[in-house]
Amino acid sequence: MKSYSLHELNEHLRRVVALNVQDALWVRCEIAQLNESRGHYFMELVEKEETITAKASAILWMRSYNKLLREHGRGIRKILKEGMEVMLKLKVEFHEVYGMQYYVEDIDASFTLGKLAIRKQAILEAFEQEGLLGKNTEIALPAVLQKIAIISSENAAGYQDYLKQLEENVFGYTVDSQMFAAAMQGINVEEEILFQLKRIKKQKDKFDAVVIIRGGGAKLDLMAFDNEKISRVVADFPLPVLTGIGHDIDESILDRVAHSSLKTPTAVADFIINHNLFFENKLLQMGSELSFLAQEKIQEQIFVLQNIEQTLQWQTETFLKNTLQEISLLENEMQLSAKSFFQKEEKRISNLEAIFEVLDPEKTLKRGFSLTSVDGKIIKSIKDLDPKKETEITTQLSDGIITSKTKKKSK
Amino acid sequence: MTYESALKELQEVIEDLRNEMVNVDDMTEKVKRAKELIDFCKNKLRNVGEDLDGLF
Repeated sequence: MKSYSLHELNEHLRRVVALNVQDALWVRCEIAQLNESRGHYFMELVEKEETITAKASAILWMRSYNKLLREHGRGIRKILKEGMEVMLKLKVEFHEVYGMQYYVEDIDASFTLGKLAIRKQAILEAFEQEGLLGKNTEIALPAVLQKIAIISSENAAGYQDYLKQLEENVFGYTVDSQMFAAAMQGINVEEEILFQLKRIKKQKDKFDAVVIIRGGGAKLDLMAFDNEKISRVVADFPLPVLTGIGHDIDESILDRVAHSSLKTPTAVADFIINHNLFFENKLLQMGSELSFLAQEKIQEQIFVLQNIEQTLQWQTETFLKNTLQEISLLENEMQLSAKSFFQKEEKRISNLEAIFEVLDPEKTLKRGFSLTSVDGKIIKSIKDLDPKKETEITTQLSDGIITSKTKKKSK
Repeated sequence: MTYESALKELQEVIEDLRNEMVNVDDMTEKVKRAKELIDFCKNKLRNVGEDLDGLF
């Protein structure tokens, strides 16, 4: 029976593989495991539906890795991660000692990014269906943002910028920020952020808002913020969440679900300060409106008083004028009546005078009248005389007196 | 006393004044109250005298 040595077999396989699979091939697979040592990357590649349907190990030599870095930039690190679906250009070799080996020569970043984008889109759509996208945004910001729960890592540049920006606000506002430290890079971002979110949720009444900031540094782990679990918790969070992850190109899912997403931690600080400034301005505006209304009211009252004053003045004047008029009228009347009175009196007097004139005994005597008296008493009627007896009577004429005796009396 | 309640009360004072519900005497009272509210908020914004809370 024919037999071969192991080396002969392996050596044969090497030639078969070298012959049939000469060129490197583009292969779609998933990185199940990834280990780096001395700059070389050792990967376990798989393909799986429910279960793993294919498996292989592959090596990315440091040399090739640096080539990839040069060609694709640092974004490559974002792709070379466990769980990533990738398109790798693999050179297949069968080595007598090490057996089948795949060597990674290139990577198609767009394939993975495309996958990522698709996955992200899927998550966003799911959130959309569940109405999660706008949920946190609908939470009305409190009038003032003064008590903040911060999720960031202590040494993250962004955290320091954020604090500095808050402290140096020109309006003198104080904003208390309580730190809930969490990794912002690397594999345990999800776990730590979720943990801190839970802690904050328990004491939510102590806070006005949550701020998640990282800031600066490589954009590589932005993907960490496309994380479905974190985004779901934030979407559902009872407090408004502000994000300042520090990137400017694409928006992570977390940014989409957060109440407000700002470009940088400093921008988050500005957002808070401006929010409080808006409140204070509204306050001052109301104050000035109030004083305006008050002034108006006072002015109104002043007008009313002035009116009263004027009417009073006018009335007193007219009253005075009237009384004066009345007085002068009276005066005239009085004068007139006095005059007429005097005139009347004068007339009366002169009448009397005239009468007196007329009745003046002397004048009457002169006119031939005489005064007859008996025993000194003027008699006016024949009745005053005793018809039977002769009486001595004296008759006074204008120029003398006659004494005589009565003879006869007849009517 | 929170920012929100201060704001609400201020709005009520303005509303009263706007629709002539206030006579002059009450007005001075209300305007004084409004001033207090504004000062309270301004101080609270700047964490001045945290114990101000007790005053209102």
